[in-house]
Amino acid sequence: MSNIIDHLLSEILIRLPNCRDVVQCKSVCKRWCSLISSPEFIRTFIHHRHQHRHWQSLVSDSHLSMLLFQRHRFENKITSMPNNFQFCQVFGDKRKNFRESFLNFLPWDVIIRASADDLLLVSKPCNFSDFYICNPVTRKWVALPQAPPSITKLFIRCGLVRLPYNCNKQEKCTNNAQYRYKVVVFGYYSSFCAFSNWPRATIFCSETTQWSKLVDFQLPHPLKSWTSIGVFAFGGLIQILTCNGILHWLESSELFCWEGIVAFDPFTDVVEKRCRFVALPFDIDPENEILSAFISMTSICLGNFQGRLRLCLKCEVGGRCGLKVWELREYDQTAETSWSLVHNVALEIRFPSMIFPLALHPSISNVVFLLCRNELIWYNMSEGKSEKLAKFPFNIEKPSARLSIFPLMHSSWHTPVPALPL
Amino acid sequence: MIKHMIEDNCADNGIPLPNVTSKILSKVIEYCKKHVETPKLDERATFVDDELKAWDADFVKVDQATLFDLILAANYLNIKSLLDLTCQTVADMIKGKTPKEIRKTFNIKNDFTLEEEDEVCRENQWAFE
Repeated sequence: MSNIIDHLLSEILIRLPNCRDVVQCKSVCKRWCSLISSPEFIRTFIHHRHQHRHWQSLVSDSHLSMLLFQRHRFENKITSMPNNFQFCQVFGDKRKNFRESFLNFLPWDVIIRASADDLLLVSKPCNFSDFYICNPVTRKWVALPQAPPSITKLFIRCGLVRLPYNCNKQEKCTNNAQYRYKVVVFGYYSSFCAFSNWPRATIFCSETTQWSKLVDFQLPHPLKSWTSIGVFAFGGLIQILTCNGILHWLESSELFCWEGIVAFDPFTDVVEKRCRFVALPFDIDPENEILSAFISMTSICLGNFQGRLRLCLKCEVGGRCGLKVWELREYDQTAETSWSLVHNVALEIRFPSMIFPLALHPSISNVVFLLCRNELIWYNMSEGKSEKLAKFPFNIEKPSARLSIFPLMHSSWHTPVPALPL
Repeated sequence: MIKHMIEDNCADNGIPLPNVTSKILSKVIEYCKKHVETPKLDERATFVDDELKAWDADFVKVDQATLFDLILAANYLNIKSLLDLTCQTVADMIKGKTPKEIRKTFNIKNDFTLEEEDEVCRENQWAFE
Protein backbone atom coordinates (compact mmCIF):
# COMPACT_ATOMS: atom_id res chain seq x y z
CA MET A 1 0.00 0.00 0.00
CA SER A 2 2.80 2.41 0.69
CA ASN A 3 4.17 2.44 -2.82
CA ILE A 4 0.85 3.46 -4.28
CA ILE A 5 0.85 6.98 -5.60
CA ASP A 6 -1.77 9.49 -4.49
CA HIS A 7 -3.64 9.33 -7.76
CA LEU A 8 -4.22 5.61 -7.35
CA LEU A 9 -5.11 5.93 -3.67
CA SER A 10 -7.74 8.43 -4.86
CA GLU A 11 -9.02 5.90 -7.37
CA ILE A 12 -9.50 3.44 -4.55
CA LEU A 13 -11.11 5.80 -2.05
CA ILE A 14 -13.62 7.29 -4.48
CA ARG A 15 -15.08 3.82 -4.86
CA LEU A 16 -16.20 3.62 -1.27
CA PRO A 17 -20.00 3.62 -1.03
CA ASN A 18 -20.53 7.02 0.55
CA CYS A 19 -18.77 10.08 1.85
CA ARG A 20 -19.04 9.01 5.49
CA ASP A 21 -16.88 5.96 4.82
CA VAL A 22 -14.32 8.19 3.15
CA VAL A 23 -14.26 10.73 5.96
CA GLN A 24 -13.74 7.93 8.47
CA CYS A 25 -10.55 7.08 6.58
CA LYS A 26 -9.08 10.43 7.50
CA SER A 27 -8.12 8.89 10.83
CA VAL A 28 -5.89 6.24 9.27
CA CYS A 29 -2.76 8.30 8.76
CA LYS A 30 -1.61 11.80 7.88
CA ARG A 31 -1.23 11.08 4.21
CA TRP A 32 -4.77 9.77 3.89
CA CYS A 33 -6.06 12.69 5.95
CA SER A 34 -4.52 15.36 3.77
CA LEU A 35 -5.47 13.57 0.56
CA ILE A 36 -9.12 13.26 1.57
CA SER A 37 -9.27 16.89 2.69
CA SER A 38 -7.93 18.22 -0.59
CA PRO A 39 -10.40 20.03 -2.87
CA GLU A 40 -9.06 18.03 -5.80
CA PHE A 41 -9.97 14.73 -4.21
CA ILE A 42 -13.45 15.94 -3.27
CA ARG A 43 -14.06 17.14 -6.79
CA THR A 44 -12.98 13.76 -8.16
CA PHE A 45 -15.25 11.96 -5.69
CA ILE A 46 -18.29 14.02 -6.64
CA HIS A 47 -17.52 13.74 -10.31
CA HIS A 48 -17.19 9.95 -10.11
CA ARG A 49 -20.69 9.86 -8.61
CA HIS A 50 -22.10 11.91 -11.43
CA GLN A 51 -20.47 9.68 -14.01
CA HIS A 52 -21.85 6.44 -12.79
CA ARG A 53 -25.59 5.96 -12.92
CA HIS A 54 -25.73 3.28 -10.32
CA TRP A 55 -24.28 5.63 -7.76
CA GLN A 56 -27.07 8.09 -8.52
CA SER A 57 -29.61 5.71 -7.14
CA LEU A 58 -27.77 5.82 -3.83
CA VAL A 59 -28.11 9.58 -3.73
CA SER A 60 -31.86 9.45 -3.91
CA ASP A 61 -31.88 6.75 -1.29
CA SER A 62 -34.39 7.69 1.37
CA HIS A 63 -31.99 7.58 4.28
CA LEU A 64 -30.14 10.48 2.84
CA SER A 65 -32.92 12.98 3.39
CA MET A 66 -34.65 14.26 6.44
CA LEU A 67 -37.38 16.64 7.46
CA LEU A 68 -37.07 18.96 10.38
CA PHE A 69 -40.20 20.06 12.14
CA GLN A 70 -39.99 23.17 14.20
CA ARG A 71 -42.64 24.41 16.48
CA HIS A 72 -43.16 28.09 16.39
CA ARG A 73 -44.25 30.67 18.82
CA PHE A 74 -44.82 34.17 17.73
CA GLU A 75 -41.64 36.11 18.30
CA ASN A 76 -42.17 39.28 20.11
CA LYS A 77 -39.43 41.48 21.39
CA ILE A 78 -41.43 42.43 24.42
CA THR A 79 -42.21 38.98 25.63
CA SER A 80 -39.40 36.93 24.26
CA MET A 81 -39.50 33.23 24.96
CA PRO A 82 -36.10 31.89 24.02
CA ASN A 83 -36.52 28.30 25.10
CA ASN A 84 -39.73 27.40 23.45
CA PHE A 85 -38.43 26.45 20.08
CA GLN A 86 -38.31 22.76 19.81
CA PHE A 87 -37.15 20.62 16.99
CA CYS A 88 -37.89 17.18 15.95
CA GLN A 89 -36.35 15.37 13.14
CA VAL A 90 -37.66 12.54 11.09
CA PHE A 91 -35.48 10.47 8.85
CA GLY A 92 -36.79 9.64 5.43
CA ASP A 93 -36.71 5.93 6.02
CA LYS A 94 -39.30 6.10 8.80
CA ARG A 95 -36.79 6.12 11.59
CA LYS A 96 -38.06 8.72 13.94
CA ASN A 97 -35.86 10.64 16.18
CA PHE A 98 -36.98 13.50 18.32
CA ARG A 99 -33.93 15.33 19.38
CA GLU A 100 -34.00 18.67 20.98
CA SER A 101 -30.26 18.76 20.99
CA PHE A 102 -30.00 18.60 17.24
CA LEU A 103 -28.45 22.02 16.89
CA ASN A 104 -26.58 22.14 20.17
CA PHE A 105 -23.24 22.38 18.44
CA LEU A 106 -24.09 26.05 18.04
CA PRO A 107 -23.24 28.17 21.05
CA TRP A 108 -26.78 29.56 21.46
CA ASP A 109 -30.40 28.57 21.14
CA VAL A 110 -31.45 29.24 17.59
CA ILE A 111 -34.48 29.14 15.35
CA ILE A 112 -34.25 27.52 11.96
CA ARG A 113 -35.20 30.08 9.33
CA ALA A 114 -34.66 28.28 6.03
CA SER A 115 -33.08 25.25 4.46
CA ALA A 116 -31.46 24.48 1.11
CA ASP A 117 -29.96 21.11 0.16
CA ASP A 118 -28.21 20.05 3.36
CA LEU A 119 -27.66 23.52 4.80
CA LEU A 120 -29.67 25.44 7.35
CA LEU A 121 -30.06 29.14 7.91
CA VAL A 122 -30.56 29.91 11.57
CA SER A 123 -30.74 32.93 13.79
CA LYS A 124 -31.24 33.69 17.40
CA PRO A 125 -34.84 34.07 18.61
CA CYS A 126 -36.29 37.59 18.36
CA ASN A 127 -33.16 38.62 16.54
CA PHE A 128 -33.57 39.65 12.94
CA SER A 129 -30.03 40.58 12.10
CA ASP A 130 -27.64 37.86 13.26
CA PHE A 131 -27.74 34.91 10.91
CA TYR A 132 -25.69 31.74 10.67
CA ILE A 133 -25.34 29.06 8.04
CA CYS A 134 -24.70 25.56 9.27
CA ASN A 135 -24.51 21.98 8.15
CA PRO A 136 -26.22 20.06 10.95
CA VAL A 137 -24.62 16.76 10.00
CA THR A 138 -20.99 17.84 10.01
CA ARG A 139 -21.75 20.41 12.75
CA LYS A 140 -19.86 23.20 11.04
CA TRP A 141 -21.17 26.74 10.89
CA VAL A 142 -20.32 30.29 9.84
CA ALA A 143 -21.68 33.61 10.95
CA LEU A 144 -22.94 36.10 8.41
CA PRO A 145 -22.24 39.79 8.87
CA GLN A 146 -25.06 41.68 10.51
CA ALA A 147 -28.15 42.29 8.42
CA PRO A 148 -29.66 45.79 8.30
CA PRO A 149 -31.18 46.03 11.78
CA SER A 150 -34.12 48.18 10.78
CA ILE A 151 -35.70 45.49 8.66
CA THR A 152 -38.68 45.05 10.92
CA LYS A 153 -39.88 44.80 14.47
CA LEU A 154 -42.62 42.37 13.63
CA PHE A 155 -41.68 39.19 11.85
CA ILE A 156 -39.49 37.95 9.05
CA ARG A 157 -39.48 35.22 6.47
CA CYS A 158 -36.25 33.91 5.06
CA GLY A 159 -35.00 31.98 2.12
CA LEU A 160 -31.64 30.37 1.39
CA VAL A 161 -30.40 29.55 -2.07
CA ARG A 162 -27.19 27.72 -2.83
CA LEU A 163 -25.64 27.41 -6.28
CA PRO A 164 -22.76 25.03 -6.76
CA TYR A 165 -19.97 26.00 -9.08
CA ASN A 166 -19.29 23.98 -12.16
CA CYS A 167 -17.06 20.98 -11.91
CA ASN A 168 -13.86 21.65 -13.78
CA LYS A 169 -13.85 18.22 -15.36
CA GLN A 170 -16.93 18.35 -17.45
CA GLU A 171 -19.56 20.77 -18.62
CA LYS A 172 -22.96 20.62 -16.90
CA CYS A 173 -21.47 18.73 -14.00
CA THR A 174 -21.52 20.61 -10.72
CA ASN A 175 -19.35 20.39 -7.67
CA ASN A 176 -21.38 21.03 -4.56
CA ALA A 177 -18.35 21.50 -2.32
CA GLN A 178 -17.57 24.79 -3.98
CA TYR A 179 -20.59 27.03 -4.09
CA ARG A 180 -22.00 30.46 -3.63
CA TYR A 181 -25.19 31.30 -1.83
CA LYS A 182 -27.67 34.04 -1.18
CA VAL A 183 -29.84 34.69 1.83
CA VAL A 184 -33.07 36.60 1.33
CA VAL A 185 -34.83 38.14 4.30
CA PHE A 186 -38.30 39.64 4.01
CA GLY A 187 -39.37 41.94 6.77
CA TYR A 188 -43.04 42.49 7.38
CA TYR A 189 -43.28 45.71 9.19
CA SER A 190 -46.90 46.39 9.73
CA SER A 191 -49.88 44.25 10.38
CA PHE A 192 -53.32 45.56 9.66
CA CYS A 193 -52.09 48.21 7.31
CA ALA A 194 -53.65 49.34 4.07
CA PHE A 195 -53.37 47.32 0.88
CA SER A 196 -50.37 49.09 -0.52
CA ASN A 197 -47.63 47.61 1.55
CA TRP A 198 -44.94 45.41 0.25
CA PRO A 199 -42.56 43.60 2.52
CA ARG A 200 -39.07 44.98 2.66
CA ALA A 201 -36.28 42.73 1.53
CA THR A 202 -32.56 42.51 1.84
CA ILE A 203 -30.32 39.97 0.19
CA PHE A 204 -26.95 38.70 1.35
CA CYS A 205 -24.58 37.51 -1.32
CA SER A 206 -21.71 35.21 -0.36
CA GLU A 207 -19.55 36.48 -3.18
CA THR A 208 -19.62 40.08 -2.04
CA THR A 209 -20.16 39.15 1.66
CA GLN A 210 -22.57 42.05 1.90
CA TRP A 211 -26.22 42.64 2.50
CA SER A 212 -28.07 44.69 -0.06
CA LYS A 213 -29.96 47.87 0.79
CA LEU A 214 -33.45 47.39 2.15
CA VAL A 215 -35.94 47.66 -0.67
CA ASP A 216 -39.64 47.23 -1.07
CA PHE A 217 -40.23 43.81 -2.56
CA GLN A 218 -42.94 44.02 -5.15
CA LEU A 219 -44.86 40.84 -5.61
CA PRO A 220 -45.48 39.85 -9.21
CA HIS A 221 -48.75 40.53 -10.96
CA PRO A 222 -51.59 39.65 -10.26
CA LEU A 223 -50.76 39.83 -6.58
CA LYS A 224 -51.65 43.23 -5.26
CA SER A 225 -49.96 43.28 -1.92
CA TRP A 226 -48.88 40.94 0.79
CA THR A 227 -51.40 42.05 3.32
CA SER A 228 -53.86 39.35 3.90
CA ILE A 229 -55.44 39.05 7.27
CA GLY A 230 -55.36 35.34 6.74
CA VAL A 231 -51.60 35.32 6.36
CA PHE A 232 -51.17 37.44 9.42
CA ALA A 233 -53.46 35.21 11.41
CA PHE A 234 -51.09 32.39 10.63
CA GLY A 235 -48.28 34.42 12.02
CA GLY A 236 -46.81 34.75 8.56
CA LEU A 237 -45.23 31.40 8.99
CA ILE A 238 -45.83 30.06 5.59
CA GLN A 239 -42.73 28.27 4.42
CA ILE A 240 -40.39 29.50 1.82
CA LEU A 241 -39.25 26.42 -0.06
CA THR A 242 -36.00 26.27 -1.98
CA CYS A 243 -36.23 24.19 -5.09
CA ASN A 244 -33.70 24.19 -7.90
CA GLY A 245 -32.12 27.42 -6.82
CA ILE A 246 -35.46 29.25 -6.73
CA LEU A 247 -37.46 30.33 -3.70
CA HIS A 248 -41.14 29.43 -3.71
CA TRP A 249 -43.92 30.37 -1.38
CA LEU A 250 -47.67 30.58 -1.34
CA GLU A 251 -49.00 34.09 -1.43
CA SER A 252 -52.33 35.76 -1.22
CA SER A 253 -53.69 39.22 -1.50
CA GLU A 254 -57.23 38.33 -0.63
CA LEU A 255 -58.54 37.34 2.71
CA PHE A 256 -58.02 33.74 3.76
CA CYS A 257 -57.35 32.50 0.32
CA TRP A 258 -54.21 31.45 -1.51
CA GLU A 259 -53.89 33.08 -4.85
CA GLY A 260 -50.77 31.49 -6.18
CA ILE A 261 -47.09 30.83 -5.78
CA VAL A 262 -44.29 33.33 -6.05
CA ALA A 263 -41.10 31.99 -7.61
CA PHE A 264 -38.13 34.20 -6.85
CA ASP A 265 -34.72 33.54 -8.35
CA PRO A 266 -32.12 35.71 -6.65
CA PHE A 267 -29.30 34.56 -8.89
CA THR A 268 -30.68 35.21 -12.31
CA ASP A 269 -29.81 38.26 -14.35
CA VAL A 270 -32.81 37.89 -16.59
CA VAL A 271 -35.40 40.36 -15.33
CA GLU A 272 -38.40 38.35 -16.47
CA LYS A 273 -37.24 35.29 -14.62
CA ARG A 274 -36.42 37.00 -11.39
CA CYS A 275 -39.82 37.09 -9.74
CA ARG A 276 -42.62 35.14 -11.30
CA PHE A 277 -46.14 34.21 -10.42
CA VAL A 278 -47.26 30.61 -10.72
CA ALA A 279 -50.99 30.04 -10.72
CA LEU A 280 -52.35 27.20 -8.66
CA PRO A 281 -53.31 24.05 -10.54
CA PHE A 282 -56.88 24.19 -9.31
CA ASP A 283 -59.60 26.78 -8.86
CA ILE A 284 -60.66 28.00 -5.50
CA ASP A 285 -64.30 27.44 -6.17
CA PRO A 286 -66.63 26.90 -3.29
CA GLU A 287 -68.98 24.89 -5.50
CA ASN A 288 -66.24 22.60 -6.55
CA GLU A 289 -63.92 20.42 -4.56
CA ILE A 290 -62.71 23.02 -2.13
CA LEU A 291 -65.38 23.68 0.41
CA SER A 292 -64.06 26.94 1.58
CA ALA A 293 -61.04 29.03 0.87
CA PHE A 294 -60.14 29.07 4.51
CA ILE A 295 -59.74 25.35 4.53
CA SER A 296 -57.51 25.57 1.53
CA MET A 297 -54.97 27.58 3.45
CA THR A 298 -54.17 24.62 5.62
CA SER A 299 -54.83 21.99 3.02
CA ILE A 300 -51.93 22.76 0.76
CA CYS A 301 -48.28 22.06 1.13
CA LEU A 302 -45.38 22.59 -1.23
CA GLY A 303 -42.53 20.16 -1.62
CA ASN A 304 -39.25 19.68 -3.42
CA PHE A 305 -39.13 16.30 -5.12
CA GLN A 306 -35.70 15.69 -6.62
CA GLY A 307 -35.35 19.27 -7.77
CA ARG A 308 -38.91 19.74 -8.98
CA LEU A 309 -41.65 21.69 -7.28
CA ARG A 310 -44.66 19.74 -6.15
CA LEU A 311 -47.90 20.82 -4.58
CA CYS A 312 -50.14 18.63 -2.47
CA LEU A 313 -53.79 19.42 -1.89
CA LYS A 314 -56.20 17.76 0.44
CA CYS A 315 -59.63 18.15 -1.03
CA GLU A 316 -63.01 17.25 0.33
CA VAL A 317 -66.12 16.40 -1.65
CA GLY A 318 -69.11 15.48 0.44
CA GLY A 319 -67.65 13.53 3.29
CA ARG A 320 -64.93 12.00 1.18
CA CYS A 321 -61.41 13.14 1.32
CA GLY A 322 -58.73 12.94 -1.31
CA LEU A 323 -55.14 13.89 -1.95
CA LYS A 324 -53.85 15.34 -5.15
CA VAL A 325 -50.26 16.01 -6.00
CA TRP A 326 -49.14 18.09 -8.94
CA GLU A 327 -45.68 18.66 -10.30
CA LEU A 328 -44.58 21.89 -11.93
CA ARG A 329 -43.10 21.36 -15.39
CA GLU A 330 -42.81 24.90 -16.70
CA TYR A 331 -42.83 28.27 -15.07
CA ASP A 332 -44.08 30.51 -17.77
CA GLN A 333 -47.20 28.77 -18.95
CA THR A 334 -50.81 28.93 -17.95
CA ALA A 335 -52.01 26.88 -15.04
CA GLU A 336 -53.37 24.16 -17.28
CA THR A 337 -50.12 23.48 -19.05
CA SER A 338 -47.52 24.14 -16.41
CA TRP A 339 -48.65 21.58 -13.85
CA SER A 340 -49.15 17.89 -14.31
CA LEU A 341 -51.09 15.73 -11.92
CA VAL A 342 -48.92 12.96 -10.57
CA HIS A 343 -51.08 11.52 -7.81
CA ASN A 344 -54.80 11.52 -7.23
CA VAL A 345 -55.98 9.23 -4.48
CA ALA A 346 -58.85 8.95 -2.09
CA LEU A 347 -57.96 9.17 1.55
CA GLU A 348 -59.67 6.42 3.41
CA ILE A 349 -59.65 8.12 6.76
CA ARG A 350 -62.46 8.60 9.20
CA PHE A 351 -62.13 12.23 10.14
CA PRO A 352 -60.95 14.09 7.06
CA SER A 353 -61.18 17.48 8.71
CA MET A 354 -58.52 16.38 11.16
CA ILE A 355 -55.99 15.57 8.45
CA PHE A 356 -53.56 18.11 7.09
CA PRO A 357 -50.81 17.51 4.54
CA LEU A 358 -47.56 18.63 6.09
CA ALA A 359 -44.86 17.78 3.64
CA LEU A 360 -43.95 15.69 0.65
CA HIS A 361 -41.17 13.16 0.87
CA PRO A 362 -38.15 14.60 -0.95
CA SER A 363 -37.12 11.35 -2.60
CA ILE A 364 -39.98 8.86 -2.54
CA SER A 365 -42.62 9.96 -4.98
CA ASN A 366 -45.75 8.51 -3.48
CA VAL A 367 -45.17 9.34 0.18
CA VAL A 368 -46.69 12.31 1.94
CA PHE A 369 -46.46 13.26 5.61
CA LEU A 370 -49.81 13.99 7.20
CA LEU A 371 -50.78 15.52 10.46
CA CYS A 372 -53.65 13.88 12.27
CA ARG A 373 -54.38 15.55 15.57
CA ASN A 374 -50.96 15.40 17.16
CA GLU A 375 -49.56 12.57 15.21
CA LEU A 376 -47.23 12.50 12.28
CA ILE A 377 -48.29 9.97 9.71
CA TRP A 378 -46.34 8.48 6.86
CA TYR A 379 -48.83 7.90 4.07
CA ASN A 380 -48.11 5.87 0.98
CA MET A 381 -50.50 7.14 -1.66
CA SER A 382 -50.17 4.31 -4.14
CA GLU A 383 -50.83 1.59 -1.60
CA GLY A 384 -53.18 3.56 0.61
CA LYS A 385 -51.16 2.51 3.62
CA SER A 386 -50.55 4.79 6.53
CA GLU A 387 -48.17 4.43 9.38
CA LYS A 388 -48.02 6.45 12.56
CA LEU A 389 -44.49 7.68 12.86
CA ALA A 390 -44.55 9.74 15.99
CA LYS A 391 -46.53 11.93 18.24
CA PHE A 392 -45.48 15.54 18.45
CA PRO A 393 -44.52 16.46 21.97
CA PHE A 394 -46.53 19.64 21.78
CA ASN A 395 -50.03 20.63 20.86
CA ILE A 396 -50.75 21.61 17.29
CA GLU A 397 -53.98 23.30 16.44
CA LYS A 398 -53.41 24.67 12.99
CA PRO A 399 -50.40 23.09 11.34
CA SER A 400 -49.29 25.92 9.17
CA ALA A 401 -49.43 28.30 12.08
CA ARG A 402 -47.56 26.13 14.47
CA LEU A 403 -45.16 24.06 12.49
CA SER A 404 -42.40 25.00 10.13
CA ILE A 405 -40.99 22.25 8.03
CA PHE A 406 -37.48 22.16 6.62
CA PRO A 407 -36.36 19.45 4.24
CA LEU A 408 -32.70 18.49 4.14
CA MET A 409 -31.35 16.67 1.13
CA HIS A 410 -27.91 15.19 1.27
CA SER A 411 -25.95 14.69 -1.89
CA SER A 412 -22.84 12.70 -2.67
CA TRP A 413 -20.52 14.82 -0.56
CA HIS A 414 -21.60 16.65 2.60
CA THR A 415 -21.61 20.37 1.88
CA PRO A 416 -18.66 21.98 3.61
CA VAL A 417 -19.29 25.10 5.64
CA PRO A 418 -17.68 27.39 4.71
CA ALA A 419 -17.40 26.43 1.06
CA LEU A 420 -14.09 25.08 -0.18
CA PRO A 421 -11.94 27.76 -1.75
CA LEU A 422 -11.98 27.89 -5.53
CA MET B 1 0.18 2.73 -24.18
CA ILE B 2 1.58 -0.24 -26.02
CA LYS B 3 -0.45 0.83 -29.00
CA HIS B 4 1.40 4.12 -29.00
CA MET B 5 4.74 2.43 -28.84
CA ILE B 6 3.84 0.28 -31.80
CA GLU B 7 2.61 3.26 -33.76
CA ASP B 8 5.76 5.17 -33.03
CA ASN B 9 7.84 2.35 -34.38
CA CYS B 10 9.61 1.66 -31.13
CA ALA B 11 8.49 -1.91 -31.05
CA ASP B 12 10.79 -3.50 -33.57
CA ASN B 13 12.87 -5.33 -31.04
CA GLY B 14 10.15 -6.14 -28.56
CA ILE B 15 8.40 -3.71 -26.19
CA PRO B 16 10.16 -3.01 -22.91
CA LEU B 17 7.91 -2.88 -19.87
CA PRO B 18 10.24 -2.03 -17.03
CA ASN B 19 7.48 -1.52 -14.50
CA VAL B 20 5.74 -4.80 -14.95
CA THR B 21 7.10 -8.18 -13.93
CA SER B 22 6.41 -11.19 -16.09
CA LYS B 23 4.22 -12.72 -13.41
CA ILE B 24 1.93 -9.70 -13.32
CA LEU B 25 2.01 -9.31 -17.06
CA SER B 26 0.77 -12.85 -17.53
CA LYS B 27 -2.16 -12.12 -15.19
CA VAL B 28 -2.94 -8.97 -17.14
CA ILE B 29 -2.85 -10.85 -20.39
CA GLU B 30 -5.14 -13.49 -18.91
CA TYR B 31 -7.61 -10.72 -17.98
CA CYS B 32 -7.47 -9.04 -21.35
CA LYS B 33 -7.92 -12.28 -23.24
CA LYS B 34 -10.99 -13.19 -21.22
CA HIS B 35 -12.53 -9.79 -21.73
CA VAL B 36 -11.80 -9.66 -25.42
CA GLU B 37 -13.33 -13.08 -25.97
CA THR B 38 -16.56 -12.15 -24.21
CA PRO B 39 -18.77 -10.20 -26.62
CA LYS B 40 -18.90 -6.68 -25.38
CA LEU B 41 -22.14 -4.84 -24.92
CA ASP B 42 -22.67 -1.12 -24.93
CA GLU B 43 -20.31 0.42 -22.41
CA ARG B 44 -23.00 2.08 -20.42
CA ALA B 45 -25.40 -0.83 -20.36
CA THR B 46 -26.26 -1.95 -16.88
CA PHE B 47 -26.46 -5.56 -17.88
CA VAL B 48 -23.25 -7.35 -17.04
CA ASP B 49 -22.63 -10.93 -17.89
CA ASP B 50 -22.97 -12.86 -14.63
CA GLU B 51 -20.43 -15.41 -15.67
CA LEU B 52 -17.89 -12.73 -16.44
CA LYS B 53 -18.57 -11.09 -13.11
CA ALA B 54 -17.92 -14.36 -11.33
CA TRP B 55 -14.72 -14.82 -13.28
CA ASP B 56 -13.61 -11.31 -12.33
CA ALA B 57 -14.35 -12.00 -8.68
CA ASP B 58 -12.14 -15.07 -8.82
CA PHE B 59 -9.46 -13.24 -10.71
CA VAL B 60 -8.90 -10.78 -7.88
CA LYS B 61 -8.63 -13.44 -5.21
CA VAL B 62 -4.91 -12.93 -4.90
CA ASP B 63 -2.59 -11.79 -2.15
CA GLN B 64 -2.40 -8.09 -1.37
CA ALA B 65 0.97 -7.53 -2.99
CA THR B 66 -0.23 -9.00 -6.27
CA LEU B 67 -3.40 -6.97 -6.10
CA PHE B 68 -1.48 -3.73 -5.74
CA ASP B 69 0.91 -4.75 -8.47
CA LEU B 70 -2.11 -5.31 -10.70
CA ILE B 71 -3.34 -1.82 -9.89
CA LEU B 72 0.01 -0.35 -10.81
CA ALA B 73 0.15 -2.38 -13.99
CA ALA B 74 -3.39 -1.49 -15.01
CA ASN B 75 -2.56 2.16 -14.46
CA TYR B 76 0.71 1.99 -16.37
CA LEU B 77 -0.82 0.08 -19.27
CA ASN B 78 -3.95 2.23 -19.17
CA ILE B 79 -6.45 -0.61 -18.95
CA LYS B 80 -9.46 1.13 -17.49
CA SER B 81 -11.68 -1.86 -16.73
CA LEU B 82 -8.91 -3.69 -14.90
CA LEU B 83 -8.10 -0.56 -12.90
CA ASP B 84 -11.79 -0.25 -12.05
CA LEU B 85 -12.00 -3.86 -10.92
CA THR B 86 -8.85 -3.85 -8.82
CA CYS B 87 -9.50 -0.48 -7.18
CA GLN B 88 -13.05 -1.50 -6.37
CA THR B 89 -11.69 -4.68 -4.78
CA VAL B 90 -9.43 -2.71 -2.48
CA ALA B 91 -12.27 -0.26 -1.70
CA ASP B 92 -14.41 -3.22 -0.69
CA MET B 93 -11.62 -4.36 1.61
CA ILE B 94 -11.56 -0.93 3.27
CA LYS B 95 -15.30 -0.57 3.63
CA GLY B 96 -16.71 -1.40 7.03
CA LYS B 97 -13.37 -1.38 8.80
CA THR B 98 -12.37 0.98 11.55
CA PRO B 99 -9.24 3.07 10.92
CA LYS B 100 -7.34 0.77 13.26
CA GLU B 101 -8.37 -2.28 11.27
CA ILE B 102 -7.51 -0.56 8.01
CA ARG B 103 -4.01 0.16 9.29
CA LYS B 104 -3.60 -3.46 10.31
CA THR B 105 -4.86 -4.88 7.01
CA PHE B 106 -2.63 -2.72 4.87
CA ASN B 107 0.27 -2.38 7.21
CA ILE B 108 0.05 1.39 7.44
CA LYS B 109 1.91 3.22 10.14
CA ASN B 110 -0.10 5.52 12.37
CA ASP B 111 1.89 8.72 12.22
CA PHE B 112 -0.52 10.86 14.24
CA THR B 113 0.46 12.03 17.68
CA LEU B 114 -2.15 11.38 20.34
CA GLU B 115 -3.37 14.98 20.23
CA GLU B 116 -3.55 15.03 16.46
CA GLU B 117 -5.45 11.77 16.39
CA ASP B 118 -7.90 13.09 18.98
CA GLU B 119 -8.47 16.23 16.96
CA VAL B 120 -9.11 14.37 13.73
CA CYS B 121 -11.51 12.04 15.53
CA ARG B 122 -13.39 14.90 17.11
CA GLU B 123 -13.73 16.84 13.88
CA ASN B 124 -15.03 13.85 12.02
CA GLN B 125 -17.10 12.33 14.80
CA TRP B 126 -20.24 12.79 12.73
CA ALA B 127 -19.04 10.35 10.10
CA PHE B 128 -18.86 7.57 12.65
CA GLU B 129 -22.43 7.95 13.81
